[in-house]
Amino acid sequence: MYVLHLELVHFRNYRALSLDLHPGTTVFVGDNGQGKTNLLEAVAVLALGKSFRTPRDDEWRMWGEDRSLIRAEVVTARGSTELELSYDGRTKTAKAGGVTLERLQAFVGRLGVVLFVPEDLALIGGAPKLRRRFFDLELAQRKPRYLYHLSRYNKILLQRNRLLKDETDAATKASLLEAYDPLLAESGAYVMHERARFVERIAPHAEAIYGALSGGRERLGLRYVTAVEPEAFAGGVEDVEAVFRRKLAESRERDIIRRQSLIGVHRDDLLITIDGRPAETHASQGQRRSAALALKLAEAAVAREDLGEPPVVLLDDVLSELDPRRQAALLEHLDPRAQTLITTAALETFSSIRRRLAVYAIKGGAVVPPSADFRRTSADGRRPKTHDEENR
Amino acid sequence: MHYPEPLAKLIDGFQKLPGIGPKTATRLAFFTLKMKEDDVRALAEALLSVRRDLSTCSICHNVTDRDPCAVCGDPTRDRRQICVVEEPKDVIALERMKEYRGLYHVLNGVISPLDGVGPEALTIKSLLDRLKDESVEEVIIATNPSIEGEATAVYLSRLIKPSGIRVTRIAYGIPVGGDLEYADEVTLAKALEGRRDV
Repeated sequence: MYVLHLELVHFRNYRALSLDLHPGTTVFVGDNGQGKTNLLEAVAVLALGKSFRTPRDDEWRMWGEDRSLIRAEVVTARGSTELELSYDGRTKTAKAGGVTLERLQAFVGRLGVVLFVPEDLALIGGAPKLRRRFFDLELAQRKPRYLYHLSRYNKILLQRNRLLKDETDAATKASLLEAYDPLLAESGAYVMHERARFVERIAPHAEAIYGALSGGRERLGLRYVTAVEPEAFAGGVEDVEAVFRRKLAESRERDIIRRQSLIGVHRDDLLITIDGRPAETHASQGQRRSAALALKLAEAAVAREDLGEPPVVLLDDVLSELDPRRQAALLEHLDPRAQTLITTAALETFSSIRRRLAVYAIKGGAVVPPSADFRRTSADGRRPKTHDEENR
Repeated sequence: MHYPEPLAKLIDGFQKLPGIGPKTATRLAFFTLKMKEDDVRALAEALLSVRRDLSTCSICHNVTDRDPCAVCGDPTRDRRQICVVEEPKDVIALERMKEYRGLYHVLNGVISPLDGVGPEALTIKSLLDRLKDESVEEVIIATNPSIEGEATAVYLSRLIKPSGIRVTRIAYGIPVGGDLEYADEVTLAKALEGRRDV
């Protein structure tokens, strides 16, 4: 799956952009603040229906403009299609193949992406929120029902937390909690069930990749930590729901005293161990980075299984954060057939890459057309061949 | 230059209506200037009349010009069923179908702590009183399938069920005349959950 053509109107610092892309690996190089990340963000918004940088859509609409638009021609194994998402300050409108979709949820996931941002390298040791986002990014793309239940859960949670903070009398509060909790349990159980299965699926990939990175000397372990005990996941989602409902009832008194919802998927975490010990407290900086890399690469592998073809890989300034050995490992494990879009401030970072690259320079919200293989250009000074010419 | 005082007042007035911004309000105000005087008078009368002549039904809390309202006062309606809705406009929607012969109860909103709306702000107490006096056998909860509508439905059902009265919830899923192919996955899943024997 790849983006053949990308069009932006009033997106961040891009007033109007029309860009042809190669199915292979493309590097966007430019100084900070020129719009490199904005490009990757636009592709991600098209895939996820929202930005990974901000929950506020107004931030990606160009300041002072009425409407922001992202349009792409996407080629998949099943054919090519046009995806479009626009935002007018009030609503987002999604179109697929020229047809307006009634729900954004039906749009999300049509373009499959795997996103690497520098924050991901803090997956181990960083805030649990990062690890929850790690679950959600992949699952929300693949399963419309996951996105539905997750956002429903969050809305119920907002009401529930507000109720807990209110000065309502105890009896009313208790009976209203009894009304919210079955709804919370229904959506929460679905989310838990999917997250548990996801961890189960990425584990073998992550273990293998981490094993290779550590030269086979260390073992990576993953465990999903949630309000419901692991045994409950042996059954179906109904079993998880029953246990979660019981847990919510047990927690109710404490919730009321503390005036917040103390258990649920908003408190979930992923426990990462190396040789059986928690990586957060026992691993070196290098081990943590390798583990984070292994997790993200495992995600890419699972995404490829689900899609039946490689997703588009977006690497935002990640390579420059890694040493040459881990850089090479990252690119080696990424499917070379996957369209890979990379941003960087310094091309020298790519000395270790043995892939053919198309290089675009980015300056002030404009893209300078590709100069194909940059190293080749500098070596013999001839007009470089584009990616397509090379593949012919 | 400013608009003359009467025009400015009218623009301000229109702007207080939902969904009308300054541009539309200005357009409406200038349009009013060109209208026939009779039409303007009729409109003004109609505006005044909804405030002056309409009240809420003391039984079901629907908007009405007499008390009890046309539905509650109709002896041919089935007094064994009460359909609970959020707003008066929901009653109109259900009446349009001309199938339902029971009574209604308008909650005048839904429970939403975020908006500061608790059960006491709705007509729930009055509903419970009705259930004591009348020969009601079934309460149909037709609140919207939003978080607030669903939570209100669960809350009501827990309140009513101990009395032995049957509590039902309207089904949701594929719209009639809709095409399965175009239904999104979530709607399909809900429709499948609510499937029935044929």
